[in-house]
Amino acid sequence: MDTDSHGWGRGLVLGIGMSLISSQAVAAVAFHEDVEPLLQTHCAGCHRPGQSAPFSLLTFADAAKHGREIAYVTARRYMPPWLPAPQSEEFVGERRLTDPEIEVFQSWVKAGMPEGDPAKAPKPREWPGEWTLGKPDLIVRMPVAYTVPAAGRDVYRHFVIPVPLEVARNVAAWEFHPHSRAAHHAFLRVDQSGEARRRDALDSEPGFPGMDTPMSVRSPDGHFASWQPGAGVRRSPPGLAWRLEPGSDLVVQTHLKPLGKPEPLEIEVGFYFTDQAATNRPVKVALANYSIDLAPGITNAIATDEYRIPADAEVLGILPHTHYLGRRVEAHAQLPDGTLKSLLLIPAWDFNWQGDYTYRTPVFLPAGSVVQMRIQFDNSAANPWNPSNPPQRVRFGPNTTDEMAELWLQLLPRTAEGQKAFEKSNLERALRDSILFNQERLRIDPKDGAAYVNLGRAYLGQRRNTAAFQQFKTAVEVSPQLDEAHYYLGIAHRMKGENAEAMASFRRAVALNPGHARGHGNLGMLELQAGHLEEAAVEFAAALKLDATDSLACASLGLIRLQQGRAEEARPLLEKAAKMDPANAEVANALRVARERAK
Amino acid sequence: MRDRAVIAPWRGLLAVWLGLLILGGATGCKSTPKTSGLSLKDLSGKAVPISQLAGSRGCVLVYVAVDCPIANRAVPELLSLACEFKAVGMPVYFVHASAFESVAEIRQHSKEYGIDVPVLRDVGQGVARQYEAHVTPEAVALTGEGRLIYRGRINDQHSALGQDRPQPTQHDLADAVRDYLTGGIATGRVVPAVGCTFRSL
Repeated sequence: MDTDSHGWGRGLVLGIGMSLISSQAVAAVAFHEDVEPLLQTHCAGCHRPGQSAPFSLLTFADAAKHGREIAYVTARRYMPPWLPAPQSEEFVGERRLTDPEIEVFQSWVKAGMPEGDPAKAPKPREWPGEWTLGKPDLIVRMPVAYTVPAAGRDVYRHFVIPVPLEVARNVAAWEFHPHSRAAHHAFLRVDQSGEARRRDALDSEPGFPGMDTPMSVRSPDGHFASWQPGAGVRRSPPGLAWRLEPGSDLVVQTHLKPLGKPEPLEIEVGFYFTDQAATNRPVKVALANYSIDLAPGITNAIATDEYRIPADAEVLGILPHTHYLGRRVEAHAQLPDGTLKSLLLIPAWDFNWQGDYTYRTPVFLPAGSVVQMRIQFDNSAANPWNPSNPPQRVRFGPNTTDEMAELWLQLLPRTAEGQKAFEKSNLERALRDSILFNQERLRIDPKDGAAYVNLGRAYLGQRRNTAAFQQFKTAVEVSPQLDEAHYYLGIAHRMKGENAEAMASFRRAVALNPGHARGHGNLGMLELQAGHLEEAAVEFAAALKLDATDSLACASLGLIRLQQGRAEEARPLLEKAAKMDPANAEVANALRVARERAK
Repeated sequence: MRDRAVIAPWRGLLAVWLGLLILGGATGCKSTPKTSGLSLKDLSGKAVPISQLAGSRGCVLVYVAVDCPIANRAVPELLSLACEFKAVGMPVYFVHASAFESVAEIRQHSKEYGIDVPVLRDVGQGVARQYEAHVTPEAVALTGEGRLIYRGRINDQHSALGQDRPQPTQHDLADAVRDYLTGGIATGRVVPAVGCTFRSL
């Protein structure tokens, strides 16, 4: 790269006199004949009115105005933006210029950017309408537009968009329209818990800040769902549509760059549905390193992790993630026979252009293959992306001034047993990662009650109940106002058979948050155990009102009403419970009795 | 970038050397025999000799463009500096130099970005040539006597096209002008600017 920019700089220094000479040497290169076809094919998808790029590159005047930049950014391979190096496992939508194509821009600028013969211009390209695949089946948009501030640092924000669906639909494709040039990349996620809405409501601005996504906000089942300018429509692979459930909120995590003037942002997402439900479900696996600790000035720190593939599977896609100090990202698979296969190489990571990559042909990895992640960091002043000058010590964390090292794989196991093997190993890793992640959170803030709760939950998952109990106790001590801390302490007491203590904890949780459905449900169970039918009924009714999908609360309330001789009230509850949990014999029996008595 | 860093000190020296030897410290915001012909144009097309631009301490010309994302992102910082410097006799002017920009586009841009400082055009790029400005955004700060205080980038957000930090860590133009306003010495410091090139050097 240095040699390219050097040559270019020299061309500039020599100036117009030189360009006359070189125009004779490279007389063949002209705009309409040589440059326009390249711009049309590789650039104008974004560089045209109404799209994401900051200026258009359709006409001679457009190109001549930005000609020197075009020559520079194409020679550097900054444009068209595409981070992975060429490798044998190719990706869908690779955007790369060939060396001769790059040379065309160089020669054209050196020749003084001649227009050439308009008669030899390529036919104007036909662009798709507003939506690539025609009108989507469902378009959702931000309820209130957000204004990106004119100045200041880059903005990271989640926006919550309700999805008005009556029934679950299968998403075959989606397209993201930020309607603003401030949007630089985005991740589409889904929340069914209402937590994202709650956070959105905490301040008056649309959305909620930060890189720290709530636990309940997840990417669509088995998919990555990232967007960056030029991404166009994103399609689910055949047979792998993802389900969008009624009552879901779309949560869009967005990286915004101030443009120098206040900029309205009104994100729209268009969905294309299919009647064909998924015939298979991809699994996602995360490789991650949480022990990043970068001394100022360090240029060769490496974060690694590895994952042993538990069953034969195809890798469908890959998603690397690091922040501004990550420089080089590598992923390999070591096959059982010892061969090394490159899954991804990004020689010069660029946070601004992060996204996921789908393999053109899925990459088969036999059971026993080991996937290795290796991310190199540069925390020196020479790293032009370094947010701190002079460099500061940087450790793991979710903010852009912290660092992360992650590599996600989207895999399709070959068999149902394989799927189970992945789920088991994923659960183990999720617990491991949750422990490591929350320990790091506690290192950053030892009074982070939510981190103690998460840590305790992970210990419960590992059946380390005593350790879990300790975490919940600490959570309550450091965050006495945190409903979840009291709730999980209640769970831990219940597991130990300490019902009085459990009851007190759940009471505290629902007092702090009357909307805590599971808190009411657990109180219902404890009251029931104590033989307090009416008290239990009150709690189950509260739980059911807050969460209509709580089949246990629904069944329990139905059974109580039946026992109280209120069969008329019991019947609809038991019908609903039987629908949600058809395998429950107790509910089925009770329903039969209720129907007879209600006659 | 490496080559620019190597060129930079040379450019700085050259600017100082030119200032001493050829220009004799007498060009810029005030009229001198050698540069009295240099002028910019206002948006109505009226020539504005650069001798008329200086306040009591000098002036700052900032080259900008209607569709350069790097220049546009710097607009809020420039407007805030303009406010600060105007108050102490150092007015800031936005200057458009691209032959591809119409007056209507420039007016529209100024309106969109809330630019409340005088906007001028360097038709023919004579002033840019004189002071070696060639990209947007690039500032040329001059004393009332025409000595170069500073030429170059506004801040260090971009270190090359496509290489930007989440926020700047250095504000070179502000620092250079404040140093001058405090110390009274025009150092002729040059820090290469990164942005959209409007003319060959």
